[in-house]
Amino acid sequence: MTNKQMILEAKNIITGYKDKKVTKGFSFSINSNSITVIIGPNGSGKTTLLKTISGIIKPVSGNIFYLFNNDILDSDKMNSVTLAKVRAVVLSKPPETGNLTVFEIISLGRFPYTGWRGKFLQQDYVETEKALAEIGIGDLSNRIFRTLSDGEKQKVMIARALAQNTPLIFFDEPAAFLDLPSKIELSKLIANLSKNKTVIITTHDIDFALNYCNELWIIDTDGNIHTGTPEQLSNIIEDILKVKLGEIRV
Amino acid sequence: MVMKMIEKKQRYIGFFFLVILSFVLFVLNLFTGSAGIPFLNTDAAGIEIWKIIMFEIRFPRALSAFLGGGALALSGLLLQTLFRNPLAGPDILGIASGASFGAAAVILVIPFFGIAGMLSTATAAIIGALAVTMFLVLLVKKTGNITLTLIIGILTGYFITSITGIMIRFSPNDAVRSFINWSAGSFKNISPDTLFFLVLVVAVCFLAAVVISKRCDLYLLGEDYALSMGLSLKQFRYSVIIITSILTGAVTSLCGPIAFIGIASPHFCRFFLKTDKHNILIPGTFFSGSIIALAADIISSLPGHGTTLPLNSVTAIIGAPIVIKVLLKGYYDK
Repeated sequence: MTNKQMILEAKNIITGYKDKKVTKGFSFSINSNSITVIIGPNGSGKTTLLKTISGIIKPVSGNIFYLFNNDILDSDKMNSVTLAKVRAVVLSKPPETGNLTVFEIISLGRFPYTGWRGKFLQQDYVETEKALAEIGIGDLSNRIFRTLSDGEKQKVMIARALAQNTPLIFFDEPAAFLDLPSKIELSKLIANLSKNKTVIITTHDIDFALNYCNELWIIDTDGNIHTGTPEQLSNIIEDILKVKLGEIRV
Repeated sequence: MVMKMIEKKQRYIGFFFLVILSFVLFVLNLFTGSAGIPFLNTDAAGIEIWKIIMFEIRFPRALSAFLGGGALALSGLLLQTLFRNPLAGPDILGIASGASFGAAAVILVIPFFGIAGMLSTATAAIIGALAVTMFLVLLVKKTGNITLTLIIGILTGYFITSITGIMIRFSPNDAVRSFINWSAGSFKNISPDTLFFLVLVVAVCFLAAVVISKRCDLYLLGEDYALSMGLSLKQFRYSVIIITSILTGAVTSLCGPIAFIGIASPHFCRFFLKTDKHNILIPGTFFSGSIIALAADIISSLPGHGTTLPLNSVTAIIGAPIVIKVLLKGYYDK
């Protein structure tokens, strides 16, 4: 396998809901081990676009293809278990999970690899421990998830995504509810993941986008999506987000 | 690792406690009732009477309380997971009313007897429960608002109960009597044949619930997360709807509408097991429901001399404080 390989592709997708289109016709392809950052003003449709290309909601029209076992598959023809072996998702809001412990939540990432009863094997617990260690939250393992801070909760959700063992991870504004130190820590963590994962992330954090992304997608208020490197898009960034890049770069 | 062992041990102790308690109450239940067991009278006739009381009255009653309570509790737990709300339960959401309506329609309109009567009442009750549950699930999907759906469920319950009430007004006296008997709720009306049916239905549904236990854990994370982790939402929702409707319908048709066990038992269980992991919670809640039902049945026959307290009053007196405690304490925010 070459180092860079096409892993996700879409042909002319329109996102939105039955009576309301959000983003306009858009085609793209994403290579493995890269970071793609989606930015845009509030309400421009970042989350809808991310949820669509990650297969959580269906596109209004168009097709999405994933690389699975060296085959390119149409997402329409993949069931939820196969999709869960291709991509994991981390959302902005940590879930409410009653009395489940951190270990139990991370281990749930192993569900796609279980049989009809969803019973875990030794291998699944090994993968769970590995994910805990990789994110460095081994000491939280036995804590009840709901007693953690928001920053810790998001790390747990990321560890769960790692336990899912997918080449692709989608993040939807993972730091939206975090304080500044946690935000910075999380950014580094996510940037680090792209060494052997493909990351697609929506964010308001332009700093993060400029520092880490391989490709930038900007959604404007009309639902058009502009793609390119930050340098190629600098005019559009200033225009759409009403910021001066020079000021941020400092 | 050591911590994990201790925690697991606590869970097992809690679970063991629930099993033992339900077993003790089961035995106690065998020895409570209007007729005293003639321990001292050991002649042949005495033993014969003892046998009849034990095997034809007491044992079916205790077993139907054990199974009925467990079934309603399990139904309540699955609904709380499906609606992601600690206040869901077959009686609160109007699902039991739907079952009652189905059962009443058969009892009042086409009064079958024996096995045919039992099977047709049960089927109608299951269909009634299914209709209400489907309606509520569609409502959640459409509105995305669980609190609103909960309130509409309560109103639906009132609505259906009123229709049932009007139906009674236009029914022949015999049918009304048997309906009123049934609607008081009791574990005593069960015959050995119907008991066999209950055992079968509850066993199958219990196993089905155990099979989907890991999926229930996934669903706790919310639909988006659950879907992204490989859960087929449609399949899961239908499994829960079908299991809860069959359990609620079968128990309601055989034992009458019994309140509060469904909503209170999962909380009773969480209190002892301190977990939301469904592979422990499902059997634990089942035994919790059995405990509440057996205890309520014992309490209802305490006055003696042929007088019994209405079962639903007893379950409400045990169940309502548990639910109020959950509400006040804000279980999920503690």
